[in-house]
Amino acid sequence: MIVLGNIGACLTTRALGKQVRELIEEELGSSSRVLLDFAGVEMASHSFCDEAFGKLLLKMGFKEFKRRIRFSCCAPEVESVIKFALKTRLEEEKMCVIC
Amino acid sequence: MGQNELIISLPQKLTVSSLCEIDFVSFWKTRSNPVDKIIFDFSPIEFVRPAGLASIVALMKFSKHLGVAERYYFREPKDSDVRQYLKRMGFYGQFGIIKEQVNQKIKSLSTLCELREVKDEFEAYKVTEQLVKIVREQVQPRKEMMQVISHALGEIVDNIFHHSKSPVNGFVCAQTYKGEGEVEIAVADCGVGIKESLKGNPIYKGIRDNAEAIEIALGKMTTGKPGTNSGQGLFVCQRYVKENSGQMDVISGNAQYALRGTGGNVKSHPFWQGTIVSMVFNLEHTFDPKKVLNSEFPLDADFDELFEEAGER
Repeated sequence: MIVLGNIGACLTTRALGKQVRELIEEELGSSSRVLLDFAGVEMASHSFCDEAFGKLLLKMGFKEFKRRIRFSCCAPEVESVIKFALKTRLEEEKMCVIC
Repeated sequence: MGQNELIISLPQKLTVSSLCEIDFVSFWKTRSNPVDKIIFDFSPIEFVRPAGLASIVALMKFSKHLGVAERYYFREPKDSDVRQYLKRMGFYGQFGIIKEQVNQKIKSLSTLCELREVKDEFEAYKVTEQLVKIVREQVQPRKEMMQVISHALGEIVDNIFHHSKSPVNGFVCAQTYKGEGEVEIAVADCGVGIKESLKGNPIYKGIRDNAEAIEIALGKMTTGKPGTNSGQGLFVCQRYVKENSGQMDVISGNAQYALRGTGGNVKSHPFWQGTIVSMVFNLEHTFDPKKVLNSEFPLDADFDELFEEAGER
């Protein structure tokens, strides 16, 4: 489990998103499923979510992402930004498949 | 006044709207014809807003970086309130000018988020978090508005590093206006500008001018770094400002996008090397950012299974 509230209440910037993605990838190396706990996170920007989760989805593929990643205790607004970032990358993934 | 002296006289009201009154033409000429001295004349200023301040500081730093003059001078504002404001905003510190301590009584009444130079992308996160904290403490906006402001701030600060290539970093500042119920956030850099940045993406190679570049940058999924960035930052900021009936300005090259309320247009502007972004939010005009995102990007139910409540573990 990765507790994002320990990183900050406002999660912004791609640099921080990249750090979180690397943490998740490290965790994925030793666990079949990674739980991302958002308790205490008040806000997450699109850039952060895209870098942390969107790019991970693109790398893993949606099927594998769904199997191994879970988001927990997200505020509705944070959930909506994460979904928005994932959707953007999922469309990119679909386009790549079509290409 | 000698021939080799350039005075950059600043307007009475130093705001994003009055930047066009500054004689940038003479300033940029010094790149090919350096002068002995440049005087940044703050004496006429009676009123300053964040975008004006961040832009001028970026310009002053950039002029030094370019080495367009032997010597640089700063003429102080005549207005003592403006001098106090500059002190509180950390202006003098940017140029190593030591001033007396800020009056603690004034400081405690401050509604400012002082000017910050964002030197690297890790610092960008810290600066964003600090400014968000200050805005929250000062005006205690509703939760939704706080999310909108912090989201917008995070996006525009992030852009400095991912797109600007500014040789003098980027400058960010904000101010809350309790009386008007407003928050202004602004960033300024002296980088390559939006047009050049977009050219990193082959599909935008044919962009004709800065006005077209700004319009494209405000669209959905526009990026100069395909695969690296998803290009939603400015689009989402613009949608939030529209929903909030706020104000947004984007100046890059010789074009300016100005959004007032729900209507925006691109017009010509005296050349600016780099990009300036300013946003003003109405704190009383709350809206649900979730609804904006969902309306622009309808979501598939597919994602719901990824999210669990605390008890589901």
